[in-house]
Amino acid sequence: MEAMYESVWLYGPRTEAISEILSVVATHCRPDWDGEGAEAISQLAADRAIAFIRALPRGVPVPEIAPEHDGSISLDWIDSRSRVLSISIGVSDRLAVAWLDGTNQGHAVERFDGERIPPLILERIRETMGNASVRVS
Amino acid sequence: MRLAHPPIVEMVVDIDCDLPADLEIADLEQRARELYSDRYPGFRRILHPLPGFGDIREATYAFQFLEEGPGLVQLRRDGFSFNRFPPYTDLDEYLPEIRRAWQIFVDLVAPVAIRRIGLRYINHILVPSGLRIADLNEYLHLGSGLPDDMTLKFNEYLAIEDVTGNEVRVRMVIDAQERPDQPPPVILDIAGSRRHSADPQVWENIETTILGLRRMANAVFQSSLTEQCLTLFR
Amino acid sequence: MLPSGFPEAVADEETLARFLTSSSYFSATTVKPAAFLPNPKAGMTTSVFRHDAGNLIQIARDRRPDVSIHGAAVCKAAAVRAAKLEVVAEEPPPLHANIVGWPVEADPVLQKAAQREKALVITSKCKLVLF
Repeated sequence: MEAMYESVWLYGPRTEAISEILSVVATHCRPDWDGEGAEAISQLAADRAIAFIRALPRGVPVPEIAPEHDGSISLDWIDSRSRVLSISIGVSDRLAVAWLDGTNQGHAVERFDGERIPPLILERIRETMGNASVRVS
Repeated sequence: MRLAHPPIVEMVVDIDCDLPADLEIADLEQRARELYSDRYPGFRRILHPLPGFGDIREATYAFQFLEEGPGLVQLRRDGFSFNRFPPYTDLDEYLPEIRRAWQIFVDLVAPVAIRRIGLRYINHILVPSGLRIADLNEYLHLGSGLPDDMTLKFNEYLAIEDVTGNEVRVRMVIDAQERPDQPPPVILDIAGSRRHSADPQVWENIETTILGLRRMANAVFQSSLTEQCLTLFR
Repeated sequence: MLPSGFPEAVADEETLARFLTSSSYFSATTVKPAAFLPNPKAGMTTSVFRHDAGNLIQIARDRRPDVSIHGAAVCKAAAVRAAKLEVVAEEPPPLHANIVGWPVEADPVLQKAAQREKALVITSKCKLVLF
């Protein structure tokens, strides 16, 4: 574990984001947690989400975390209500990506190999959060 | 050596301990928050991935107690940390508070033994504008011996101080987030440590070790940077 | 006219509430898109309630007393239609409606991405009401 958790300046936002993923898993571990038949958050999805956070280059903002009905994990970069990048991480290496940037919107599928963040996603993060004062990894 | 504008972005004192075998730090949260809250009103729970997680108690790795100012204390599953951020003055000024916060930790957790004491300085060095990555050796003793047409991105070494047995791990990272209009920032991460079994109740021995690590870290800092670089911080 | 007394057709200016069953479905002032994604187990629909501001908490309590509800994302039906989706009344329970018309694709991940884009359009027009 080295000193990853001890240096807040180097790893703090990523440590917090990983901690938030684990907290979401723990608080959404029962089936039907939403009263609408939701699946418990998948451990595989959580592993992939954690790998994604660890792969974020230093200086790139970390996302907010949310559970999804099918047991996936949502990573959201929110600059404002109309400037958001949202990614779904599930059990496969394919990520569902969508963005809203004022009147510009779109969606795509990207592949994450567990080590390197797809360039499209990095570009979208920077475009979405360019003006934000946020946690950077 | 006292610098007017030190490039320190974080100082960390780590005291890694063996805790009682039956201790679950998740059970200490309420009491710990009460004991640290007067000086550290902020709180964060840090979870760490474990196989088969889902039990938030088992995944609890640390509690962070945050000052309203630039500091925090960490109660970890494997020890104690004291983190300090800019504005940074001098370790001597922080030692009384480190001792106080450590004593709270000892009273609460009852560590069996200390295994390692660490002192880490993370420096963020902004060299002058217009400097290319290739010119960094005017400011840093990179020691890489690379051909001229190659660019160093990362250098790391581990050394042992002969007299004391103290270890130091030094990392020099040329930040990959370089922007064309800004100079390449450099992270100089100096982590000194001493592994030994020590009595958690005897603060004087802990302090002596920390001060020895500071002396070593300062020497490494001076030898890692050229005089041209050091003048940036005076 | 429905048993609740509301008309069958959901007008553009009607206020809709999506109850938030997770504290992770919102940040300080914004609703996250995951809160609106459709439920495959409910025919690929998103459950909402038609309300006036006065009885929102009561509707939440009556709906599922065993599920924690942290608040609601509130928007006009017009915001849903702006995302090229539709709002259809479905009672019982009283005042209940569904957001329907979510995109369907042969590729499930692409489908999710397309649905997510529409959820972002809706949440961009939502106000957050915390209980």
